[in-house]
Amino acid sequence: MEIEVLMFAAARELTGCDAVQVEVAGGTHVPRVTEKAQDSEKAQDSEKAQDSEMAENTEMVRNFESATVDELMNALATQFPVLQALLPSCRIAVDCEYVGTETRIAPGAEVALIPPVSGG
Amino acid sequence: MGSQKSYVELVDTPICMEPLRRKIENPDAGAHGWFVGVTRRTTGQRVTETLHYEAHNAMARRELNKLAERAVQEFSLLHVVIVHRLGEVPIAEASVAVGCSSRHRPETFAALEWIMNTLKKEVPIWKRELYCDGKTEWVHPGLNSESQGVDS
Repeated sequence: MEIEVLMFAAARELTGCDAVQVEVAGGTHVPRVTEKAQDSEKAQDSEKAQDSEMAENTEMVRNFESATVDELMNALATQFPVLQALLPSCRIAVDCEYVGTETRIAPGAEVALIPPVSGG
Repeated sequence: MGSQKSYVELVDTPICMEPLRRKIENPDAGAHGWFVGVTRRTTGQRVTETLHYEAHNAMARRELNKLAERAVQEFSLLHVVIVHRLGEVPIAEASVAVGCSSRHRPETFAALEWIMNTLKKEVPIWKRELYCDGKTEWVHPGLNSESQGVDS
C-alpha cells in the first residue's frame, strides 16, 4: 500500500516536502486465504459474520490492506535515506494520535512523522 | 470570571496577556499563577537572531487540550489556559503562556511545572533557531550537538 506521510521541522527540510509518498509492503500474515476471505466479506454484506472462521478471514483481509508503523518506518528509511539519522528518534502519529510500532495503519488515515518536539 | 475550565489556543501574533488573565478568574480561587516562556538570545556560545515555531496544528491543539484537561483533573485546578505562539517570535517575546488557578497555591505551582515539562515532550511543536552567523537549525532535543540546553 502507498502511505502519505506528513513531514515536519527537520524532516520537512531534509526531504524538501510537506508530505512524502511511501510504498509499504504490508500484510505479512496475509496470503492464501485472501480469496476466500474476500468471499466471506461479500457474504458479510447480506449477512453478519456468524462463525469464528469468517471473522478470522475478515481479519486477514484487513491486515492485507494495512501496514504496521514498524513496516512504515523501515520503508521510510529505505526510500528516504536522507531521513536515516533522524528516524530512530521520531514517533509516528495516526489521525493526530501517537501510536506504537505494532499499530496497523488503516487506508486513508492521516499519518505524520513527528521528530523530537521543541515547543515552549 | 473564566467560563470554561480549560482554554487552549495556537496564535501567530504576539501573546496578549490581559484577556487571558480573565479566563482563570474564579471567586473560589486563592491562587493565580502564570508561566511565560520567552525566546532567549543565547544558547551556550551561540547567539540567536530570531526563532521560528511550527506545529502539526490539529494534533498540537488536540495534545494541548488533553494536557489541559489532565492538569485540571490531576491538580484540581479551577481553570487552566495554555497559549502557544507559532511563526516568527523575535527575541525576548513570549512563545508560550500557561496560566492556572486553584483554591490553594501548591496545586498551581505543581501544575505549571508539570504542564510545561509535558508540553515540551509531547506536543508536536518545533522551534528553528536563526543564529547571528546566518545558520539555521531545527531544535530536536537529543539530536542537536550544540543546542543542548535550549530551554524556555
